[in-house]
Amino acid sequence: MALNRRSFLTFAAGGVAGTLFTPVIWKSIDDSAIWTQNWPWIPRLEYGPRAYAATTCKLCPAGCGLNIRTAGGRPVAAEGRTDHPLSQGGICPLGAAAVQLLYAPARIKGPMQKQADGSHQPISWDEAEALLQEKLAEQKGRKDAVVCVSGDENGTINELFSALLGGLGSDGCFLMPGEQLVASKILREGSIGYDLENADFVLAFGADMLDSWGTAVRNKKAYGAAHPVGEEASAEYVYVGPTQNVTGGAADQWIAITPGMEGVLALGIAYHLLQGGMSAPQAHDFFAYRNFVINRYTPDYVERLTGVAPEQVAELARKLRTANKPLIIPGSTIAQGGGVFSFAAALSLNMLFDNVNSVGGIQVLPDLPKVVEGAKAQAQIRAKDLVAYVQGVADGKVSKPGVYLVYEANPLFALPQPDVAAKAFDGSYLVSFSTFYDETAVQADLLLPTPTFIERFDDVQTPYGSGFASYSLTRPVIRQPIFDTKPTGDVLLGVAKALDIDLGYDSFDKVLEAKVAALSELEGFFTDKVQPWEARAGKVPAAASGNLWRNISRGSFWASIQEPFPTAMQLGSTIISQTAPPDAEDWTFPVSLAAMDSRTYGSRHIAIPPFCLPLLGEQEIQGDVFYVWMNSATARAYGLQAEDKVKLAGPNGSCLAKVRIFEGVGRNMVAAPLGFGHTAWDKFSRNKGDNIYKVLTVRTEPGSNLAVWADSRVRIAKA
Amino acid sequence: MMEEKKGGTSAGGVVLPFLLGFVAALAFGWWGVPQLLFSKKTQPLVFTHQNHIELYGMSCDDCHSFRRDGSFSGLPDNAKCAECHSFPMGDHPDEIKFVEEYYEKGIEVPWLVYQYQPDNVFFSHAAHREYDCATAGCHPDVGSSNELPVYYENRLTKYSRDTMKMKDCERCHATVAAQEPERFAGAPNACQTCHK
Ligand code: SF4
Repeated sequence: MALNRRSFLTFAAGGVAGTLFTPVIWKSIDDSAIWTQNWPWIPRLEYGPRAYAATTCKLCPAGCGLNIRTAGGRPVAAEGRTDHPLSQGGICPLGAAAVQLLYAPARIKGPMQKQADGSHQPISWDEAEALLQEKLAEQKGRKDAVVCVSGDENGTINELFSALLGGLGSDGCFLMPGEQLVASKILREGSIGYDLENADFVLAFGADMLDSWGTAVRNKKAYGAAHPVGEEASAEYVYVGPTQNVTGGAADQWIAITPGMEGVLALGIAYHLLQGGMSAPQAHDFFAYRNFVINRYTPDYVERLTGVAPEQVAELARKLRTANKPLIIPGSTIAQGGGVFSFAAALSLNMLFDNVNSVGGIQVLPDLPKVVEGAKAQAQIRAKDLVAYVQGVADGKVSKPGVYLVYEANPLFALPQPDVAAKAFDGSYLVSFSTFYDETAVQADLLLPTPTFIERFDDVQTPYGSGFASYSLTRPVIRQPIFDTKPTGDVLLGVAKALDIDLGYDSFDKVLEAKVAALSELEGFFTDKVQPWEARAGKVPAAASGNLWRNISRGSFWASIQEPFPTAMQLGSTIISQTAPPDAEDWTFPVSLAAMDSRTYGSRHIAIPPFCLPLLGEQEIQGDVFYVWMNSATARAYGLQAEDKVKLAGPNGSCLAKVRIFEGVGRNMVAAPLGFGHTAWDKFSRNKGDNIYKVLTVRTEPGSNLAVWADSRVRIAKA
Repeated sequence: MMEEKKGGTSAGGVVLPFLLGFVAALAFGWWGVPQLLFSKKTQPLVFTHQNHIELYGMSCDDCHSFRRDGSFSGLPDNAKCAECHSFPMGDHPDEIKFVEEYYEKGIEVPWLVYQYQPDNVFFSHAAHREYDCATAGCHPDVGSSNELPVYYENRLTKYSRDTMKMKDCERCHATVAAQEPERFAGAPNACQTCHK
């Protein structure tokens, strides 16, 4: 056979035919297609060992335990910890978004400085800290010239702020307002806790305990344990509040009441109890209290102010009396801005039942020992009224500070009447330590971003609402912080040193270690076997031993049920009578504004995360417009129908919204969600609805001089 | 003459080159291309399943277990191996290598996985635990082998040659779902059953 053209072509033809009987063509096509799956710009899953890291949530003050699930060292999801008394396996929507927030576009990627044109330009940490030091040095020695606004209610970081400010000659260390401020007006030392788990009748005034008040996830667990599916409930829950919110909906009974009138109802109940012969001889002021209540809070008067029928009030009194362990929880629906009157009135019911430091009652909880020299006591910091201060500065009654330090707080969005805050901040040097580009950060002259709680060491001391004193830590569960951030504690220590103020530590981690070491001053235990409420009911826990730091920094939860000091029993008759609300109607602003909060809407310092947006129903927001809720009678009275546009106008600000008709709102009230209407943050959280804080109106409560706004009033009209 | 010549050469002159070409293509397609397409890799350490099972009475579950949450732990990590091998139990060089090079240095052994699913697939072992891994045809049956099979990596796609093909998943889903529709209601061949 000669190799000629013809045989070659035949050979080739044979080759082609043969190829058809091999997988080459099909395999090549298939593999080329698969190859396209591996182009480098296609997002890839990260493989690697999966693990859990136990830590504590810092997105709101409730301090739940979280397990951060990691894959190959990279956080992928947050889950509730089953071994943590404040979460017991549960988590709220905001906590569930924790990992997503780690990667959120709203994060500030490094230190920045404001330019003349208002934009922010990146600078180095050295430059940024030098700038902070320079600005603080200018104010050193000038009285109250540096003010701190902290959004962290229960972190040790406040000790550093307060000590640094002290060193600079300032007393202006404020927390964002919350229930703990009101509570501190009643209890000057220690804080108030609620032993929910052991109570068999829970009467909550205002406090939206199953969604946004106090230790919300723990409260839900206590509620759930008392309401086993398919079985008889072991505790009855009654909710007194303006709306049938999550708590009102779940409670065995919901009683509609105008915000601010909770205390009147409480005293109306006290009237029946006292008439029924109840006494509290151990209270010094029992007779003054008795006279005041019996003379003033008669069934008729209470009905006129609250709209609650006398039989219903009497029935509540009967239920309380027949319960074994009744617990009365004071609070405001938005866990802020309530007055001393309602708080003290509800608390006095506990006192009548001699419910203080008893199983299933209210607890006086010790503050954990202070570790930073020169810092103010926690009780002193808690008791400072930021809103009153800001009003004073805006009105020119208090001199404007030179520098504001804002930490994990967003006062230019989340203080009532934020325009007043803006006025008070205007012209001062504003430093933001925020993780996110929030409304306050947008205005700041200097941004010193702090890492998220997933990237740093931090702590949570006894969250408000908890029934026991506790301590837990957050820790970095990611190898490398995602952005060029620096823990604020370290920044403060560095700048203090440069200013010759000795705070006694080199790093924030050391401060936390000292705090943990100081816990041994109290009788504490780890909650692996015995839960604090079981301990209170008589189980004996093993005292915490071993290396405390090692255990706590790996996620152990430290608790104490030690009673801090004997409390002198007082029913608070003086303060209750001084702060009692006037019984005149306000006809200029005839409708009560019942603001609503929910962890679905974020928290005081976190905007609605994109993760939570799908949770909002179409009756909560559509496009950019959000809804306010009212019952059909109220809507009719103002000529409104579902889906109508409505304007809510308070004395200082107004909002636009659409109407949702919902019978779970009391009469002559309009309910509106807080946390909408962000103008900063990222494209996911921005421009959704309107900011109800603009409509909340601050008044001063007579007798306590506390700034209050939970009972704001508005005019409503079709827009 | 012309006719004859043509006819005379047609048998040997056309058929033979055609056949040669045909056979060469078959050989190239069935033998050559796989050689070119796949690179061979060996596992970082030798490992015998047989010894573990027969000599030490272990079962598959001892290492390839389900976690409490139902997820499958896949390959054991160093810690698992170190339950027995935290120091060399014999004198096999790979055993010493495991202890010294991996376990003590805290480096996980980079085992090659024959069966990773592509990223766009969701696969749960828990849902498939009723099926025998080897006989259902999903895995090479290494349980009784004395050595680990060679790992073939596709040079083009970087996937292991043993990566399951979609048609294998589909075939089984179609049959089991068809046989017992009530029991396997969750196993239809809809895209979203497997794909993310
Ligand atoms: S309630 Fe607060 S602390 Fe708990 S998970 Fe939610 S955001 Fe975190």
